[in-house]
Amino acid sequence: MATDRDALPLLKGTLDLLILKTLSWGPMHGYAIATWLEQRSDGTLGVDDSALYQALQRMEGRGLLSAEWGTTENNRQARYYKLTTSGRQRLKAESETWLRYTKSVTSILSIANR
Amino acid sequence: MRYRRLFDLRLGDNARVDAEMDREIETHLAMRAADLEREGMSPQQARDEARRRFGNFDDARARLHAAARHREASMRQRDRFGSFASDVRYALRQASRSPTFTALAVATLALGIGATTTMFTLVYAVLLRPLPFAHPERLVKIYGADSAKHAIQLVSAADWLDWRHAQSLESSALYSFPGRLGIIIGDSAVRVTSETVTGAFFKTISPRFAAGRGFTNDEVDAGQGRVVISERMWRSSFGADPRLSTPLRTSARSFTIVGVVADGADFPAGTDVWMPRPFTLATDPGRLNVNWNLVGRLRPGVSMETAEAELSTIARGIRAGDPTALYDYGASTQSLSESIVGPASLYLRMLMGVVVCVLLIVCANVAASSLGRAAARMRELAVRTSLGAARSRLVQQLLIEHVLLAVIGGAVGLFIAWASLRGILSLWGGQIPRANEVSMDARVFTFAMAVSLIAGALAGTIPAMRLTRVALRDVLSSGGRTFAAGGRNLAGSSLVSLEIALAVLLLTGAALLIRSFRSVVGRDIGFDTNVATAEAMLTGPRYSRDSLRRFAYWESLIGEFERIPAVQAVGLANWIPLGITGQGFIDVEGHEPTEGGAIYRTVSSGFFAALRMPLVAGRLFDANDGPGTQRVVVVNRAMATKYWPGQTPIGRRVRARSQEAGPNGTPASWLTVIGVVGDVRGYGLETDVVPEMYVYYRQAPAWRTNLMTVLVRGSGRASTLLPEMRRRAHGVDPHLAVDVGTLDIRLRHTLAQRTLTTSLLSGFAGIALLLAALGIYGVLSYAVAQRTRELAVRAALGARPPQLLGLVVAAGLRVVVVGLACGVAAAFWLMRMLEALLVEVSPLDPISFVGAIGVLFAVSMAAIIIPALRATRLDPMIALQAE
Repeated sequence: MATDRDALPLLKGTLDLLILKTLSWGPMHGYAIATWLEQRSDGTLGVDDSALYQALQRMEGRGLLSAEWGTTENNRQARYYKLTTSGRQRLKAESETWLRYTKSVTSILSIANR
Repeated sequence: MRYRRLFDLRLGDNARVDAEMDREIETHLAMRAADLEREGMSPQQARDEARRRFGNFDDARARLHAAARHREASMRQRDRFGSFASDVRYALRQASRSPTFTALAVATLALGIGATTTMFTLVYAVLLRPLPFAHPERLVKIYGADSAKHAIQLVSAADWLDWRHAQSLESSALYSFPGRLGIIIGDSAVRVTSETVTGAFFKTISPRFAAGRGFTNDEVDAGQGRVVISERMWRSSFGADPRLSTPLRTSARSFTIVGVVADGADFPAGTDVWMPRPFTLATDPGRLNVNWNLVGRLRPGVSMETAEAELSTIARGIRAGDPTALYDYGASTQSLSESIVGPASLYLRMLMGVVVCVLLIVCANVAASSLGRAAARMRELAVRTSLGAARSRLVQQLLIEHVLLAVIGGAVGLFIAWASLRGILSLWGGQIPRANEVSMDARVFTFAMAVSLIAGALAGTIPAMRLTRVALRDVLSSGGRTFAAGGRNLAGSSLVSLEIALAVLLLTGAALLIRSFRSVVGRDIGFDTNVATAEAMLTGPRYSRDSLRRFAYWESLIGEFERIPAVQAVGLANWIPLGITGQGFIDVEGHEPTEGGAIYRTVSSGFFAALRMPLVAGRLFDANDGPGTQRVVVVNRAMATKYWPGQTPIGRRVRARSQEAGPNGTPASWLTVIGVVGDVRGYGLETDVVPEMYVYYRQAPAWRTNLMTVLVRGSGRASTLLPEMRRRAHGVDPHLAVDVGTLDIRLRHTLAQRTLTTSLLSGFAGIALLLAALGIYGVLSYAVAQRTRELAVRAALGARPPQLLGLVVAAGLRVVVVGLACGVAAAFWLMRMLEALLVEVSPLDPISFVGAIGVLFAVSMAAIIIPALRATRLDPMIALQAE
C-alpha cells in the first residue's frame, strides 16, 4: 500500500493484531484505542497517533472493521470502530499464529547460556 | 454488513471523505488535549503536545486523507459487487417464488429473442457477411445494355473478349448457367451441377480451396482437360483424397482434378464441377449469343463508376463497328454480393423489422405483467424504503430481476433460433441466397446475449421507475393501495396500448402479404403443373455429330414414356416453363425492329397436349412438318396481340434473331406462324405473361436439340410416374443420366420466398396478437383486483352488474382504442415500405386494415370480458371484509 510508511512489517502486523484485540471488547473510537493500548503496554509501544489511524483506515478498507459516527460520554462526535465478522475471524487466527510464534521464539531465547 | 450501504443515501466524493477524516483527527486532538490539560498542562501546551504526538502533523494528515480515500474506494467496489451478487441471488429467489410469472416471462422473452436471433443469423449470413472470396468488395457483375439502356443480364463471349482488356479490371471471367453434367462414378452414371467457365475464373473469384488449386489460363488454352470440383463431391465421391489422384470421368473423356473448392465458397452456390473452356473469336464470334454471366475483379482503388464508364466506351466502340451488336449500347456493373442476394434482401430486411417489433411487444408484455404484480412487490419495496434503502438501489434490484429473466430467456431463445434455422433451411434453403453460409457462430451468440441484456433493461425500466416511485411514499399504512388510487396504472395501460399498436402493424402487414399471396396463387398460370419432367443432355460421340441420332433418342424416350400405363400425353421442349428460359430479340416481318422480343422454345407437337395449353387459332405441328419443309412457328396470344393487334397472325413471318443466330454468326431464318396458343406465365406466378414463340424441334438449329426435357402428364399425381420414368430412361440409353422431377415442385420453388415471408410474418403477427391479448388481460385483471373495494362499494350502494361491467369494459376499451389508433397511424406510414412485395393489393388496402383492426378488437374484447365479468360477480360483503 502506497500510504504505508512503516518500515517494520512485524510492527505493522502487530499493530493490526493489537487493534483487533482492543476492539474485541466492544466498539471504540480512535482515541480510546490509542489510550487503551498506551495503558495496557505501559507506553512501551511507541506508535505515532497517526500510524494508528492509518491502520484503522486500512483495516476498515479490508472489511475487518466497520465504523460509524457516535457520541462520546463527553458529548463529542467520534467515529466508533467495531469488529466485523471477518475481523473477528482474523483476530482468532492471527492470535493463534502469534502465540505459537512467540512461544517457539521464547523457548529458544530462554535456553540458558552456558 | 452487506446492506450497510443501503442506509447511506449517497456515496460521497473525495471532499466528503477528507472532511470526515479531518473531523476524526479534530476529535482525537481535542480528546488528547483535554486529557493532557487534566494532567496539568496549559491549554496551549496541551494542544501542541497532542499535535506532536500525532507525528509530523501536515504529512500525517495528507497521508490519512489518501488512506481514507483508498478505503472508501475499495469499500465502494466491494459494495457494488456484493450488492450485485446479492441482487442476483435475491432475483433468483424472487423468480422461484412466482413460478407462473417467471415461466411466462421467460417463455415470451425466449420467443422474442429467439425470433430476433434467427433473423439476425440469416441477415448476417446473407446481407452483412462479406462474400467468402479474397477482397470480395472488388468483385462485380458486368452487364451489357440495350438501346433503352436496360441492363442485359447475360453477355456474349465475343463482347467479353473485347471487355477483358479493360484497364479497370484486374481480371474477368465468363461462367454459364448451372448445367447438368453426366459423370461416371464407379459403374453408374450420375448427374451433377456443372459450370462452364473461362480459364481466369478462379483467379478472378479467388475462393478458398480445400485441396489443390484453380486451373490457369494457360492450362485451359492448351486444352489440358483440367477441372475443379466441390468439397461436397470430393468427400462423397472421391474419398476426400488430398492427392486428387482419381480423374473425373464422363462418357466422353476423363479430366484431371486440379483443385477442390472449400464448402461455402462454391460460386455459383451448389456447383459441383467447374469445367473450363477456351474462348476465342473463332469459337464464339456471335455478338447476339448472350449466354454467359460475366464477373470481373476491379483493380485496387478503381470504383465501379470508373469501370462502368470504361466498359461502356468499349461497348460503344463494338457497336460502332458492328451494327448487329444489339447489346452493346453500353455496360453496367453491380457488386457481386448484391447480384447474389437480389430480392431476398428486401424480404430479409422486412422480416428483421418485424422481429424487432415482436421483441418490443415481448418487452412491453413482460413490463406490463411485471407492473401487474406490483401489489405483490409493493409491501416488500416499501419495507426496504422505510429501512432506508436508496431508490437507486431498488431500481438496480428490479432491473437485475428483469435482466436475469431475459438472460434465461435468451439461453432458451438460442435453442429456439437453432431449431427454427434448421427448419427454415431444410424447407427453404434452396431459395435463400448464401444459405450454405448460415451458421450460428460467436457473433450470433454475442448478438443474442446483447439482445437479452437490452430486452431485460427495456422490460425492467418502466416497472423499476414506476414501482420505486410509489415505494418512496409511505405505502405501508395504506396497505399497498396507494398505487392504484394514485397511478390508475397509466404505465401499464400505455404499455398495453403500445403492444396493440405494434400488433396492428404486424397484422396489417400480414394481411397485405396474405392477400398478395392469394392473388398470386389465384392467377392462371396457363398450363397444367401436375406434370412430370425428365431432363437429359445428349453428349458424347454417339450424339454430337448427328441430329437424326438425337431425334431418334428423344422419340424413343417419348415412346417409352407413352407406354407407361396412366400416361395421357408426352411432350418435349428445350426450355420448359418454370425452368431456365431463353428470351431473345425477334424480327417481325413488316414491323420496326422491336424491343423485348419473345421467349423462345423448341418443342414437339405433344408439348401443348402435355401442358394442356389450348389452341386458340390455326394448327399445331403435324407429321408434314419436318427438317426439310417450310419452317413454322406457333405463338402465344400475348405475342399475337403485341405484334399483330386486331389481325390474324397466321401466315405472318418472324425471325428469332438472337436465339437462332448461329455460333458462327449465321443469321436466323424466317419462320411462318401457323397457330396461336393460350398464354402461360413462363417464369412463374410472380411475373406477367410475356410473348412466347414455339419452334418445332425437328426444324430447330442443331445446338437447340441436345439439352431437352420430356414432359409427361398422367392421370394421377405426377410424382408417382417418376420411378417408372427413371427405369425406362435407363433402358433407352444406360450411359445417359436423366434428371426427373415435376412442374409442381418447380412452381413451389418459384413461390418459396413469398411463402416463407408470408408464413413467417403471419406467425409473428399471431404471436403479437396473443401477447397483446395476454397484456390486456393481465392489466385489466390487475385493475379489477385493485378496484375491488371501489366496485364493492358501488355494488353496495346499488350499482347493478351491467353498470359495473360497463365501468371495467370502458377502462379496457380506452386502452384498446388508443392502441388501435396509434397502430393504424403507424401502419399508414409504414405499409408503403411493403409496396415492392405486394401484388394486386394497395399498401393501404382497406380490407387488410379493417381485417387487422377487427381481429385485434375481437381478441381484445375477449381479453377484457373475463376480468369484467369477474368484477360483476363480486360479493360486496366479502370484498369489503377482505380489506
